Amino acid sequence: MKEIVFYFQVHQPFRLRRYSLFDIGNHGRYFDDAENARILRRIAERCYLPMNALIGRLIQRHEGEFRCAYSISGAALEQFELWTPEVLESFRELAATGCVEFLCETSMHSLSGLFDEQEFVTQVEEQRERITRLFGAEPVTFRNTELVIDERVAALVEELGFRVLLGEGADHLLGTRSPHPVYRPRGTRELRLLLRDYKLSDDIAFRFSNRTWHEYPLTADRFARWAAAAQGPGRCIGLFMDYETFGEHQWADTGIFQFMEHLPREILAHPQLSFATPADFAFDPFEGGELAIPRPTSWADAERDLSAWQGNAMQKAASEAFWSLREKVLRAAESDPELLSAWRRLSTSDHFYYMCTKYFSDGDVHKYFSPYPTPHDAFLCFMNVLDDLSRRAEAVKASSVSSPIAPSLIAPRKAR
Amino acid sequence: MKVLMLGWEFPPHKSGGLGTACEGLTRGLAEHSVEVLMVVPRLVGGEQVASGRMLEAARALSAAAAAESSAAEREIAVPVVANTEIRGLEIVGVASPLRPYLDAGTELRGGYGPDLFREVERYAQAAGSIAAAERFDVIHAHDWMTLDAGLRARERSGKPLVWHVHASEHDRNRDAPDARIAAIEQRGVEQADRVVCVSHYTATKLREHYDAAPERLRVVHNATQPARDRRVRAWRARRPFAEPLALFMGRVTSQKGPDVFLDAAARLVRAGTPIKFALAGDGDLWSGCVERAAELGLARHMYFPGFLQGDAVTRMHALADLFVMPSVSEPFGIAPLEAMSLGTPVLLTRQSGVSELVDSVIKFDAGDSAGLAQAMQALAEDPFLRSWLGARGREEAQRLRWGGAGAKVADLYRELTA
Repeated sequence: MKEIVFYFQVHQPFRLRRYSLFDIGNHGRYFDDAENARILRRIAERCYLPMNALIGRLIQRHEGEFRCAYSISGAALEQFELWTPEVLESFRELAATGCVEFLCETSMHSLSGLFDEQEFVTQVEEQRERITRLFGAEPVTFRNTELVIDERVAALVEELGFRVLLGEGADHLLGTRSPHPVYRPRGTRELRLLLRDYKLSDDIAFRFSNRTWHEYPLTADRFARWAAAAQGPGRCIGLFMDYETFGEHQWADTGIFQFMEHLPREILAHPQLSFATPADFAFDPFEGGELAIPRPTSWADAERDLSAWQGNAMQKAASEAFWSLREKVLRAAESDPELLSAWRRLSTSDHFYYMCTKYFSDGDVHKYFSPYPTPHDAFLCFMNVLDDLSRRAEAVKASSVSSPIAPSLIAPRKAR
Repeated sequence: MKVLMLGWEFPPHKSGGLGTACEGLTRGLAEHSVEVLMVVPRLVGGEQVASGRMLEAARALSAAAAAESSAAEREIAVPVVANTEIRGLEIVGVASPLRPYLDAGTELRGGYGPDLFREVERYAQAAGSIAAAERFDVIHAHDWMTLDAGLRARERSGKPLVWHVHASEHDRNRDAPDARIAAIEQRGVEQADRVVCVSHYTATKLREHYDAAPERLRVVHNATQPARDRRVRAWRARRPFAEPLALFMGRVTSQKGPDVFLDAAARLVRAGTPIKFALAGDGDLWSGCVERAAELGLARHMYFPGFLQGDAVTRMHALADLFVMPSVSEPFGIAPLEAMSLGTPVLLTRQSGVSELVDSVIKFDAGDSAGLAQAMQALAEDPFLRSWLGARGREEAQRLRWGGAGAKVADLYRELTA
């Protein structure tokens, strides 16, 4: 018996405008509202709205047998509210079916878990409240930005009260072991770790429309046969992917929607297969036992490590500059809260991803997603914004140096 | 007196000092009753010509090919706006998609070379037919790109040729000069009636590398235009920086020494000196410099505003408290004069033409980043020293007007046509 666990990542960063040296000190309009609105509307039309409608039909058609999970970053949710409220409404309709689980993550899709524990806790709590408020159920499953996990993050996630964590079924973690059993990350007691089956996930997310792939074109019945053929221990086949796979990364004319339309029927035709969401595993036994995660693992690129965000000197310098600004911004936010919200938006991992210089096979992917002509432009624009933000925070500090700091604003919220 | 002037770039669309110098020289010549018919590879629009007309010589070329008639050029003449600042200047465009400067290792040796040489040849053809159609007394060609055009024009018209060297291949690519370009420059030194050099530094180079005959060499230093003070003051008033800003502005190529600027900046940052840096410009070392800045811990201290032109150049100058020209080898170096005329203290290398012309600057040797760092630190920490040096530099730059350069060149024309 195996369960197909679909988890779709929905995320949109607040992209920056081309903020130049001449803008510093002159204005704090860092984000390109027009461009962000344009992209949100385009993706809503190509992906979110048609795909949500399709998922809704599949849930109805299969009378609860088809289930799936979403994690929607706070950055995306905020932008839905701003530019495409109909998308948010359609997700709420899916939530009402009871067949869809909404996961928790960091509100701004940040790598705070690696850099700043207090900020991580703050962003997780903010997101937990928002998901609960919007979709009517408190999340029990956590997925960290870009599936980045290590033992420290896992321990934090458990401490915050989550029962299930998602991760990448990376070879360097598993060796010869299967990604399908439930594992317990070393250092946790009750946290279920579900892993991504990268082979089957990427068959859909990356290879589906690749005409040079020897399995092209992929059909739903063949994919279902592959899933049904999965042997060995464990019952979770994690199909984790970006939601934008459907209609945006793979355009409608590739047949990706038709594939998805037929997939549940083909899966359910195999008696040993069914659908589940991560929360369904919340009380499962740890069939895979303990899993050591000595260094951070992600779902990105061939390396499955942090090199997409931390691989070069520009990324490291930008990270260091960014995270070292937090205390100053928190203090200044007392009189100018906008500074903190701008800083949080800058924590989004995409800003660092755009600075990636790995121009090998993965470079193409980075380039495709970047609004900048080069990684260097991304770095320089980010640093200019940071420079202005830092100056504004400094100015606030200077003008209110004698006023006491409200403790509620700087203390992290209490973990559950 | 009317000169057929063969240039490769003209403001505001330029990528180096050549265009600035050409424009300045035409202004200077106008003060001495010399009419200029300016031919440039291509007119992009926005070139500030006052009186005169523009010819699209690309169309002239194809028209000439079709009709074998140089009269076609006249018919496609485009009148330019009145309200002229430069009297007696006409500009002719020759369509050319290429940039005048060859960054070491990129355009030239990477396979784009043949295209550039083809453009140079096309430009020479256009100059030939323009020379046949126009009336003028003397020909003045700038740098290697237009030398063959100058020789062609001399052939067609029988008028004397002045070749103006703003930079030689041995400045641009010290380590690996391009043999084809060096051959062209050799030809220029041998065949032009007179060779104008922008500095004694350049004249020496031409004698060293091309065995140029001293009696045919003339040194005419570049000059500068009066600064537009009001806008600069407005921009300065709005500058967001409390700490001083040191500016490098130029092509980001090894000739210009950006690595020395980075290294000196890193020394100051390590020493905790409150100062910011801006490295403005584009070039083959640009992305490497951005990465290097990150590696050296300069990410929060150095800006890279990229290639600037038009108002942005002046605006950048307005933000700067120090101007640094760390060139390894600079035939002239016009940017420091622009900075000086705005009252910005300047630091420049002795290996430059401009350094033989000015005194109120700080001079250091190419490659000496420790020396540069020391001087920048002294200036960064002492606002009085900055304003004193800036004021002295400004006075000095004000004396270096294009009219003076124009007078020397006009005399040379008269000497050749007498």
